Amino acid sequence: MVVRRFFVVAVALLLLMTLAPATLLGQDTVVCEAYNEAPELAEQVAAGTLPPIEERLPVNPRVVEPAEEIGQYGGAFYDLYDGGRLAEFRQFGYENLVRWNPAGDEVVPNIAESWEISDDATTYTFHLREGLKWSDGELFTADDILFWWEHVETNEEIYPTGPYAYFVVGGEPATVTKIDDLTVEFKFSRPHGLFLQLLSAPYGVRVTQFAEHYLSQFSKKLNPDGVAEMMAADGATEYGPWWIGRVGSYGHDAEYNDPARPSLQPWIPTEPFRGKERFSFVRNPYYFKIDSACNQLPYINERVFSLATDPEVALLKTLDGEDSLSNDGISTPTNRAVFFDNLETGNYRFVDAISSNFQTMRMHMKFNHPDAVQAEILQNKDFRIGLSHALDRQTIIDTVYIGQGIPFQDGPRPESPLYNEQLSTQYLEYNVDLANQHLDMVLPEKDAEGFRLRPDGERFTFTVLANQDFRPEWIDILQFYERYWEEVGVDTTIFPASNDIWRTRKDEPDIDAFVWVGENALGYQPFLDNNTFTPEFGDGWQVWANENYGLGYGDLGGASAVEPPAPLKRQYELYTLLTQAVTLDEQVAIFKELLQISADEFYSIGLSLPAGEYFVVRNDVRNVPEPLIRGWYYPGPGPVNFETFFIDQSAS
Amino acid sequence: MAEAQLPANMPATVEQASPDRGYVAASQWKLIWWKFRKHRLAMLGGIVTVMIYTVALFADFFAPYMPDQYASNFTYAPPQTLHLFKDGAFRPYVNGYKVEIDYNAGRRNFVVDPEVEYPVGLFVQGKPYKILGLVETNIRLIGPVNPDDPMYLLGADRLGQDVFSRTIYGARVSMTIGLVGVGLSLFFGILLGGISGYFGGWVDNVIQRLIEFLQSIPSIPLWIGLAAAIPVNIPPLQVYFLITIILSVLGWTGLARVVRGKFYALKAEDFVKAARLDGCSPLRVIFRHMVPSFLSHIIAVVTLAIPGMIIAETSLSFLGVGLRTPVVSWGVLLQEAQNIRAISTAPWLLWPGAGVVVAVLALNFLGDGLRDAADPYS
Amino acid sequence: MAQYIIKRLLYMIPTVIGISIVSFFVISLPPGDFVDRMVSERQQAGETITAEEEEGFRAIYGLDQPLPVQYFKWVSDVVLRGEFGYSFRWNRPVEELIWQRLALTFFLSLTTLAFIWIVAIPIGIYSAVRQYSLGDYVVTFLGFIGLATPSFLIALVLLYISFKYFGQSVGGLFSPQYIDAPWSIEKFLDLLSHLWIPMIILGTSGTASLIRTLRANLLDELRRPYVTTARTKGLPEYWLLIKYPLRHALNPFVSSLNHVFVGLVSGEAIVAIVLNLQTTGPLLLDALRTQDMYLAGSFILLLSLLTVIGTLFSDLLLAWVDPRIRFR
Repeated sequence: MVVRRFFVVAVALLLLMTLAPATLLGQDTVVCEAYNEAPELAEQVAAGTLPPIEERLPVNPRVVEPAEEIGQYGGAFYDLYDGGRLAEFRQFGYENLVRWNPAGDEVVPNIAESWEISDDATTYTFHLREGLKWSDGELFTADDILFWWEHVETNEEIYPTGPYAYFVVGGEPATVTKIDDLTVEFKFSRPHGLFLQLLSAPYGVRVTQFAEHYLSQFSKKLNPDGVAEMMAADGATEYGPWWIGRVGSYGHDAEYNDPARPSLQPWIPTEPFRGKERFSFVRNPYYFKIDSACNQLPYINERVFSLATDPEVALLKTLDGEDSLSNDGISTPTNRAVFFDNLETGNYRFVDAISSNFQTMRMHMKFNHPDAVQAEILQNKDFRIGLSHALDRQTIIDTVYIGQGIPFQDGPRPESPLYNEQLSTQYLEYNVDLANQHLDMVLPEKDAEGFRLRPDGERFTFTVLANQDFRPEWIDILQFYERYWEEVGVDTTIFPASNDIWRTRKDEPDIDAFVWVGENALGYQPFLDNNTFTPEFGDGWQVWANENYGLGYGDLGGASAVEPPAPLKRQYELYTLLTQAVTLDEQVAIFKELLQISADEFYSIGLSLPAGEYFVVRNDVRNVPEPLIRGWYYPGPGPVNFETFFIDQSAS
Repeated sequence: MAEAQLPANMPATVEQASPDRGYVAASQWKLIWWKFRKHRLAMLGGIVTVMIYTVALFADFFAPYMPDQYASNFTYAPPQTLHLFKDGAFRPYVNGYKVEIDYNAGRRNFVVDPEVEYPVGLFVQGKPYKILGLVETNIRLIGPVNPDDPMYLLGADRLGQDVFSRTIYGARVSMTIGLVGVGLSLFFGILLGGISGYFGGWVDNVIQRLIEFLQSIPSIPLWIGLAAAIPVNIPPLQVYFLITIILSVLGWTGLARVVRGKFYALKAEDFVKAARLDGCSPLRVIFRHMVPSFLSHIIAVVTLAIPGMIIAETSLSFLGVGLRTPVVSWGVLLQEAQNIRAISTAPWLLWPGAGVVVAVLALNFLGDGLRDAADPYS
Repeated sequence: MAQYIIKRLLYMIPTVIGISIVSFFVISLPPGDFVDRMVSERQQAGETITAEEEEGFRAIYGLDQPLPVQYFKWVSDVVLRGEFGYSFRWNRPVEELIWQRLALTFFLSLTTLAFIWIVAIPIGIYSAVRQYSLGDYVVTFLGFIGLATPSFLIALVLLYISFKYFGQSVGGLFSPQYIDAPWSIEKFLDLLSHLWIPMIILGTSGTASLIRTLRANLLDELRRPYVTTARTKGLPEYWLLIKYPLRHALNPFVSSLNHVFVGLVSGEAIVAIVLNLQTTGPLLLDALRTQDMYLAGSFILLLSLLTVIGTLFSDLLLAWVDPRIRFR
């Protein structure tokens, strides 16, 4: 009996020991006896012009599970490019140090194989992959990260105001140290709990973009004579603009223009593409990822880009099948009807998408209006409640958005774990009496025509600014708002402004409010922006927050600091605590408290939840998960692993 | 002595000419009219122009609906056929639509519903308005008998607004925006061209260089710069006037050159010398004596400048620096139609383009006819 | 004559300087500057840009300097070193950007001009010779249609038609497979199949004024005594037409050549935008809207220089062709 039990236990233990490594350590340890590569690469290996696959891949390549099935090598992926930043469409390639998983709820290893975070979240130590190589065959090491930090990110000629906000905490930049060839340490003076998520955002790619062995020639410090010569040849006088135009960092169109510059992306340029109407990027033979069947990724041979500067031309090209995955501004709900009509000729399909946006049109009041009387009215919550109840949101949704989307006030999307029901559903009822009731509490006096008067006897006017190039339908929607609000006695004026001038118009004293979309509200994205649920248009308060808590904001229009009311102060405090929180649970708890204050204060008036979003994908492209997520901090749809897409040759 | 040569088309005797006054004794304006009459296309252009301006002036009367009357359920509704007869009697009506939102196709589907009929009439009651801003009334030329019924003769736009009505209201803005601008151009053109041609010498030189200077500045940056400098809270109507002033800032130079040329030729004429000897001030000589002699020419040039303004207004709207929604002008309506969504699924949104074409052609032919007729002594 | 030329050349200098100052001023007239545009664009893409970063951008592009300083820096670069500065938007030398697009712009302008002349001259002649006939009305109508239709609308409609009913790849002058391919008959045919849209749109809007001018001048000439004389002498009608009146009637074409120069370089911006043609027009428009100071300023300087030279050239040509002017 005892012997039998011992035997069973022994076998169980043995089994456990063999299975443990695979299950406990997760994906990264698919054990491969041999790797497979694309036929074109195999030919080059056979011809001796390329080292064999084992030497090209790192010791532990990243294993990526395709969405549907193991793919076939071959084919081309078509893209449209608007002449600006090639890597702006966040579907180009996403090779940061760490990245989001496709669902957007976890940060997973990428270039870094693993990492440790100190208990107080001040020190992050990243372990790089041994044997990971640049596209020219040289090893990627900590030296490359150090080069980036010392000669690019902290270089005042390139970034006059210092390193990017992700790398700065409490006003102090990080200290980046090389521990050894494969280990890098980021040390901050204060806890930086959100660092990993920020590194997974688009700007985080800067860390892994600079190959020291090639780019040191463009550093003024390391190669002064060479740089002077090159600058003279290009006719440049300032180093900063010349470097941006010749080398480039994330966001500059030069970053992929130099075919000799080593890259870690799945596809690399073969020629300078600037000024060309059509060009290709080809497979990177040193790409460090494999699928679960030991095939080196990517499957697709090349990405072919065509120039389409005008959105209508881009639309026609997409209808024609010249775009394998539609661009953000092209597959809009408005254009769905056109895509529907051309499904057959274009040979593409609809793929549903979820936006990270939580609001189609979000109205922000100018809380720190220079006119004190106006500021007091705008800051009065009953004023905003009254306005909110006066809106028939469903009619607007039915007319402008063809019935897509539900009325939605503010706050993270319902899919997010941070969703706050009060914030999202309060004051949505279309009730004119209730609206008048609340407005009577703030502006009880009316003039002969029925318009409400300010406490000082003048007619109250409410001017709303809207960028009509960004979302043309806002002007239509605001015309509805104008009608509804005039019915409750608020004299409303819409000021549509073109893209070129709207930012400067915001600061004019006549503007009382402006509208924008509500963004970054899926998953835990709200953590990453310090301003999503605090007043967007309270410039004075923001300056105060900047001076007292070091929080950064854009567009302050030269305002001077105004002390915020207590709840808002608490929110600024909470946000600072959030950035210093170490565990996810702590972060969630702090943020929920912050959000509850937003719910109680009711800062912005909203319209509806964006819905009906989609992408258009050519029928020959497979391994595209559905739904795809759009966003910024989650640079959608980048995280869905473009390198695992493949072309089904039979469907082309 | 040889007999004087008569022009080929001159009648040999007075009786063969016009019966009432006689060709030789006819006034200048009469001659112009007779010559103009021969140009059939110009006559047609003139009639059409008058018609369009009438419609523009009384837009509220001709349009069935107000331009901003939306209908949630009829976004992008196709045009309805106007049936004129029912059971043998003249009883115009349009059929209703069965409307359904097709979420997959991203639009509303409209199926004509033969069982629903909306009677249509002439001189019906619609939303109230003021004729020429003075007299209040609510009679409209054509429309549904029940003002809440939908009647989309040219279809509906993205908010269910009637394209036919909006095209008519658009005419009001587009046809008149040219006039103010042209008027300003005319004034400056004659004034500066006249001074330049009359005085000659260094005055002429300075003005010519100024003209050359202004003509060398590309118009688009000037438009963009000036349009963007318009202050924030100006109502759309005033913005529209400012835009016309902007358009005319560069427009006067062409006219000035023509006027100057004419003045050089006229300066040597006897009647001008006589006026000067008589002691008339230069301005009086210019405006009282010289201008009338080529007034017809100026009228022709002006008539030809108006369509240029109309097209320029549409171009400015396209570039985003002209009139924009919610103002209703042809330029704005075309800009709203300037996308594949409109062209492929709602082509009726292009009807304002037809308005532009007809207006511009009519004005051009009219102007050509006037110019041909302007110099009746040739 | 030489004196006249020298005087005009001397006048050119202050004119061009004046234009450069005015243009620089006009470009910066709209509120804000290039960095505002850039930040606005990025905000639309979802980014948040802090006030500090904005200041950083301004520092890099020298936009934190007062306007006159920026102007002098640019002008001294142009005059002393012959360099036109870097574009903020493209981060490349201005000359490179403009040069890249010149070939296509010239090509389009020249083919359009050829189209205009080929269409306008016969119509103008016919219209003058058969005045007030039905044929006159018909061809005049056709010639004027292009003037009356807003070009951007027609461009988009034609683009859509060529996509939907001719199954053509839209945008640019070549289908994707021919862009980098070497020249061949197929490539040429492909070019034609794309070229017809811009040529028709740009051409038809230009024919009207030429028809009108030609007709008016020809009518004037045809009434002159020498024509009657020639006719009574028995010369055939068409010979009579071409030998003298037509040549005189073409005079105004010469004086309009200065517009040709400008058109050659700036192209028809609006149509090029809609049709995705990489000519200089859209580049200029874009530079103006984003207040890309050096690119826009250099462009305008170039254009005005060409206009002024063009005017001089056409005036000289006119003087040479028409002796009456020379003796004035």
